[in-house]
Amino acid sequence: MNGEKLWKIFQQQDADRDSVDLVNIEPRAAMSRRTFIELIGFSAAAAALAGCRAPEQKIIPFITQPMAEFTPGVGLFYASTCGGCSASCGALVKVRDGRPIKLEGNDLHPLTGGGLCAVAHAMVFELYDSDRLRQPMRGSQAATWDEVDAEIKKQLDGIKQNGGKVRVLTSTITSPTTLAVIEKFLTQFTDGKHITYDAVSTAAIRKAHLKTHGREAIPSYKFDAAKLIVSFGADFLGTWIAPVEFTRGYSQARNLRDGRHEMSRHIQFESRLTLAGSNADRRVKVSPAEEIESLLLLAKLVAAKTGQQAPAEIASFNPTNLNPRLQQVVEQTANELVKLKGASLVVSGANDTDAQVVVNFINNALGNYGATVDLNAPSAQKQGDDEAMAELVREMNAGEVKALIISGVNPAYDHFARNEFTSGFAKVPLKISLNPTRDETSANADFICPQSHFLESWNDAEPRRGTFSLSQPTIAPLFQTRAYQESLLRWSGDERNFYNVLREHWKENIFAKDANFDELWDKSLESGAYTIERTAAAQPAFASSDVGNAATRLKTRAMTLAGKLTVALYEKILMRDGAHANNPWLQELPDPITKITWDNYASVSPALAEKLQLEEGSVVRVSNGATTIELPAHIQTGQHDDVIAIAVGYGRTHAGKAGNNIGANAYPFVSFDNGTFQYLANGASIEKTGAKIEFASTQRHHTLDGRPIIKEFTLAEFISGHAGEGERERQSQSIWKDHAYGEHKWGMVVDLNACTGCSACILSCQAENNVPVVGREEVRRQREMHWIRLDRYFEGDGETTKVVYQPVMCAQCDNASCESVCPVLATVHSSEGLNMQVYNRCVGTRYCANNCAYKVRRFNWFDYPHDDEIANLALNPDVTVRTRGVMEKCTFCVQRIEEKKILARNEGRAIRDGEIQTACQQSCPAQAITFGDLVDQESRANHLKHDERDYILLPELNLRPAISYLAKVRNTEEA
Amino acid sequence: MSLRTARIVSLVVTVVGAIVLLQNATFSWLGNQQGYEPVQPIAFSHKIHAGDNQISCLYCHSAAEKSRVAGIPAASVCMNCHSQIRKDSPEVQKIAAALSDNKPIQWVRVHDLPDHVAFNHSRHVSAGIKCQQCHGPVETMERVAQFDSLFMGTCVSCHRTHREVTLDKTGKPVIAKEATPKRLMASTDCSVCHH
Amino acid sequence: MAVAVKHTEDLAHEATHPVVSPLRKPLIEGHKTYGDVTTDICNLLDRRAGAGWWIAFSVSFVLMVAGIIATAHTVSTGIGTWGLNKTVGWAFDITNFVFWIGIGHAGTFISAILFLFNQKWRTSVNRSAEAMTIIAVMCAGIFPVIHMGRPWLFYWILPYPNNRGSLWVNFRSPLVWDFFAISTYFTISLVFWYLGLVPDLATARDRTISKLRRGFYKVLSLGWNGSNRTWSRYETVYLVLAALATPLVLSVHSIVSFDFATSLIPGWHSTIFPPYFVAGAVFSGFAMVMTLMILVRKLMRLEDYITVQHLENMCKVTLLTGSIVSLAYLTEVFIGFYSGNPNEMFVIVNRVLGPYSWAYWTMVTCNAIVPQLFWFKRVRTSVPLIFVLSILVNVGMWFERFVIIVTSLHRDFLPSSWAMYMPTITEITIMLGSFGLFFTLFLLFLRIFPVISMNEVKGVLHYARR
Repeated sequence: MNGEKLWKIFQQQDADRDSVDLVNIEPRAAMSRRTFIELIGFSAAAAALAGCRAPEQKIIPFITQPMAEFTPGVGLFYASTCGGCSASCGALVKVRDGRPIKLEGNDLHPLTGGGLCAVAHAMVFELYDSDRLRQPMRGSQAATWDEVDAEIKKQLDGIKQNGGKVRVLTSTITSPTTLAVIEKFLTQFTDGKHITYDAVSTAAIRKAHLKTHGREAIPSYKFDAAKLIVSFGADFLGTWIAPVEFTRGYSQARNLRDGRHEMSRHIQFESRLTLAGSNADRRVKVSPAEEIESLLLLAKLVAAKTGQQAPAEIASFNPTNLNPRLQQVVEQTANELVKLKGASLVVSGANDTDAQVVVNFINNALGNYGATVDLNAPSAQKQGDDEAMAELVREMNAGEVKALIISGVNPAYDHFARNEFTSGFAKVPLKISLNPTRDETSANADFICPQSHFLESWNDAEPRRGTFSLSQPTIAPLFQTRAYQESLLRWSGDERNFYNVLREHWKENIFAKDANFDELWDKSLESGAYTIERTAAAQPAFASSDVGNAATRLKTRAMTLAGKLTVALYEKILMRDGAHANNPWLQELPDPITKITWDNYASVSPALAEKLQLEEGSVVRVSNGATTIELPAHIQTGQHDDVIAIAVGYGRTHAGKAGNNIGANAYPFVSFDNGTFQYLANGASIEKTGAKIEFASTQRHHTLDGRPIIKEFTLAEFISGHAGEGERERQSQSIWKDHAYGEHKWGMVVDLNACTGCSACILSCQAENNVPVVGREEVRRQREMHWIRLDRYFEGDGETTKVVYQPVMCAQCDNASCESVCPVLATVHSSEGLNMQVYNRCVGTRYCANNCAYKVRRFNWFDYPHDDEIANLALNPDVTVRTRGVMEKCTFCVQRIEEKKILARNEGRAIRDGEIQTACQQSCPAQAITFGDLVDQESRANHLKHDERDYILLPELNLRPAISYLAKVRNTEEA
Repeated sequence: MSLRTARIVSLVVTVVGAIVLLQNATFSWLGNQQGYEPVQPIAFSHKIHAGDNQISCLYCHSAAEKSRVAGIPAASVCMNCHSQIRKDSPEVQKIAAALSDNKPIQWVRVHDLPDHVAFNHSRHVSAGIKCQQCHGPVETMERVAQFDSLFMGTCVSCHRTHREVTLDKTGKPVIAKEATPKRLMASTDCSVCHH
Repeated sequence: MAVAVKHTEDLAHEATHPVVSPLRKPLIEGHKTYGDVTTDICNLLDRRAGAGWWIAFSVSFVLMVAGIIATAHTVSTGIGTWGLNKTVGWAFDITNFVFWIGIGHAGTFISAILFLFNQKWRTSVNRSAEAMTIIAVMCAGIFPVIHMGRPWLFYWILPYPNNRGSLWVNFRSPLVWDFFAISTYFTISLVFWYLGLVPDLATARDRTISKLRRGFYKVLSLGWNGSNRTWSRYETVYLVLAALATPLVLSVHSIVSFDFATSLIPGWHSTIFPPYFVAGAVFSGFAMVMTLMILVRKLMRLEDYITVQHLENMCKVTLLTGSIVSLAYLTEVFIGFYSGNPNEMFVIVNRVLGPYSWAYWTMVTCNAIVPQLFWFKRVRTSVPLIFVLSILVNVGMWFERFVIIVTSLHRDFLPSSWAMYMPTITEITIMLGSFGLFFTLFLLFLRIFPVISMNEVKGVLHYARR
């Protein structure tokens, strides 16, 4: 299948690379100033590929000198908003010679700070995805904007006269202006409606709050304020609602640096091993049935202990499926929660209104509303309305919908009843898709009006009420695309471009009337965010009327689930709902838990695998009667025996060359029940097909085997000073002279207690350092190229699986074993303590990699594909594109170090601590990585090196690494 | 020939051969771009501009102070003067044409370092190093030619002998105050240029 | 030996040529005269090659060509065509390199050390043993070059004046030491071998019938005239070269072993490597000499010159070195546990019981157990048995290098990076190709040069005779 072919065949790409035709880059965008710089950058990229001796190089300057702050060869950062998912995190876009080449976290953003997730980093690659549509399409024919606009308007006018339902179906839109635009568009019609659809929905939370608090909203959860977090299967560190924001808060509350000695406690009840669960202090493995009963029991106990009067169904609840041990665990949890009344937080990942109602009941009983749960600043993320979607499908099939405009959604792929949807879709006379690619749904649309990438367009976002952020174009549209808001404006007879609409909307509705607009606008644009101070209001009152019925339904639900095999659908933190499936960076990013790339799989517990005689990778047929799919099995410790966990987002057929036919589509297992999408399919069966595949996995051994690689303490041990035990960085007696460092000595500290394993660092590094994607086959051969890897080890038995993560990149050892063995001095020690890797000197003996104790060196086994002219625009011009046969590795982003050093010297000043940030450090949502100058006694890194938790990896080898780790601490004792 | 003469001949051959072979020059003829002087789309004369008319290099190559690249001026910059001066010259008209029909001028690159070399102009300019040191007497060149071989040896020998300087408030180059005497030299770490 | 069982061929031979010494058996059988020796050896050069030779040659030539194709594929596509990965950076490539270097050792050992110890029996085998050395070192030399990611830049590991300011090589790197050690070794062996050839080339020059050959030998024999002056000079130089070559026998493989010993990988980082490697080298070298000699005496009908006695002596050397190697194995295991270092212990356990234990046990069987059979005279004197065992020993020695390299690398310090290694067709073909090259060149040597050092054999012709 060509999805793989692209990456598999390396011989192909040798074809005349140095003859990249500058003139015929498809397509010729209007000759804007940016286009020209692109061309410059392009020839640079081309040269980088062609090697040192490109025959004749052209230099193509501007025609007219651009704005003042622009200097060729100097990167500029623009504050913007990430459009990767509905979380709308604040981002900085690094633009180099007119090309956005990297997303970084915007530390001025009130919600996400400097953090970004892995998906955000991959968005740059999506911008340069050559599979994006390059002009509007009429069916499958290319068309011009004027043509499609004319025809669409004509048909819309028809509907205006004759009446009829017009529906706009979008994914969650956090942009207030866009919502206004859609509103405006729909008002033209007698029956116009905007439907929000999320493939992976959290509608239950909103419905539940409508029932209990009279507000259909997702509250904001304050994980930083919670001293005790009890989560029922909610992967709030991985994929749930706003993972970056939550990870930031979570790690702040658990930060033990700078002499802090208290951290929040986290208890997770879950049936499959989630990222959040893998970080929990106490992880309780439960079956889906047990999960529900634990929740109910918790409600009962909390109510009893807090004196909150509970409905009879709860007060009289007696678990039938909970073994004594679990009951005891729930009891303990209840006690802990009650102790921390008002400072605790209970969340559930279930998209089941009843479960969420009970969760609200518990949080209310604990007085968490107003403290850790805030309904007055509701989140605008994940606004998907499952009922409305179901209604739409009905309407379409009834032939009532006259026009359907979709944007950012792909129901033909990710709707659980996609055949129903497509049949209805076919009945709609006017089907317009605003999606950027010809995906499963757009393929059947009458018109595709490709929207520009968010890096090419103006937009705004209000992820939480009162917190606004802007996103601004960082490059002129590469292709003949248009912001979808503008398309809607055109069709509502509004000729303004969206930028003006945006400004006016902010002037009217967001900024205070009396404010100086331009000043405020520029400020918000510069910082990327704008906040409206709210006066603290009381939380809406809690109504317990529905709790009883909810409990009853939950009980029966637990009964039906009990003892049955259940398919649990989930999002991988890298692939999410599958919208970005065509992004090779995401496809090749190993899942933090399973370490598998380029696939989805049916995770089964070791016991279940035993029972079915499954091995890792043996293909199974999973079915729940209605749906049957075949997937390779992955044996996952820590997962409950009653559960088969399958990731959605795979099995795309119209994603593009990288994303097609990777894995299998699991959405059909979703069901629509009780007003929401259910991601648990019970009564499943699983059988072996006899086939077997090998996973493209980046880690094949999963335990520490008693090696002292990870240091871990309980909070008690830490407080009593045990963390300091064991060797500090030893001053060994060496017969050699130590390096004499003058100006700088770069060092790094990684806090294992902060790291949640979100893997953002890996992609940040990949984007910064032009790390190639090698493809499934090569990963199978254990040749992935990532410079920073996230080692994941399982501890303990299947009951209490503990997980530890350890980011490992080149440690820049003082006594580097790689340096002494390289025959050609291609890797040598710098005067600033860096272990330099000189690509152009390397002859590729691989001796250094053999002799590296941390195995962080990566070898270019082939010339990796750099023949996609558009994709090459994502390359960072400051970093050499490595050729075949050359060793490469992390050098603490030496290009960034040099950049800042030169800046400081040109300005005749010393480098400020924290001025240089490595790529991995910059966007770590948990701020686990600290980089700095160890010569500077005041530097943050130096400070942390003297933390009592500080230890180095493999000290017995006396390599003197510049990276040290801060030991992990688990808050095991009950509050 | 007799054994003696044979001996002498062989000895001479060996010695001379060794001397000839073991010269840097022997190993540097390959890939030496010194003297490369391509024809440019517009017959721009640095002699007239930088030489006769004493226009500062940085007026056109303004990025050299701030960036790793010196930059080629935009056509509009040329027209700052040429909208008044020598409008009729065919060469100037080429520029005007470029502006009017919005087609960029494609200059041929003369100084083309390999892509694995990250040379930074701003650092060297602000350290008070004259452009001519590497680019030669450009102000005398009708058409620009590569003056130096620009081999790594050129860079390294300079870095070994020159002191790291920064600019003081008045913009005057001063020697940086750094820890040990060794560090006073411009860095010869590989990663200064190769990353 | 006097009491040793007499073989039928001994009896037959004694009937015609009464032996004087009751203790010693003659080194050269068939009661040859000086004339016989010259004719026997020189006629080999003019005689047409037999069917056996042609079969052997065509097979090895085909293998060589296959190897060349595989190498071309590697160089043009990338090292990715091999089975290596992020954890195992060396495998077949360096295994073959060390293997061939090891093979080379016997030649120098026989020609230099045995010469200094005045072991007369060496004379029949030293010529071809030295040829084997030179060819083996050639085969070995290929691998360090083609195992590079960018082999076209291999010359960067030599220090030469350059315009990089100047940029030298890393004299701390064992790979650089390797380069010097091996090139020295190759040069000395070549000179030594060639010098030994000169008198015989002169003889060949004077006797051969083909014009072409005469011209060839004329050039190579450097106008040798066999005068006493020439002979005495020759003897002196030969002695000196022998003295020079002797330390190289020890140095080369010691330095090759430094590639591993100086690293920090458990299973490589070991002080016993130099002697262990040298013993192993001589061990495998002699095994290879025996294999070749048995073939040679069959192919070229040289049973009278290369006698069972020669083979028996070599068996004894093999037995000795084999036992040293076995001792080294035991020491490794002992140190592994005695060190108390968990990593060291793990490597041993992983070798003995891990996924590559099959390789380890092949190695132990072939190198530690098989040679012990040479304690029995029956085995030492049965040509077919020696042939089989000698091949087994070489299989074992190849696996020794494989075990050292791969089992140490594939599971080192951080379990997260552990990986498995499986060779690809390309790698296997390259290995076979190196054998093809080896035998092709050796068979050519048999046809072009006097296989047995006539002048030296004549010197021992009357050993134990009237």
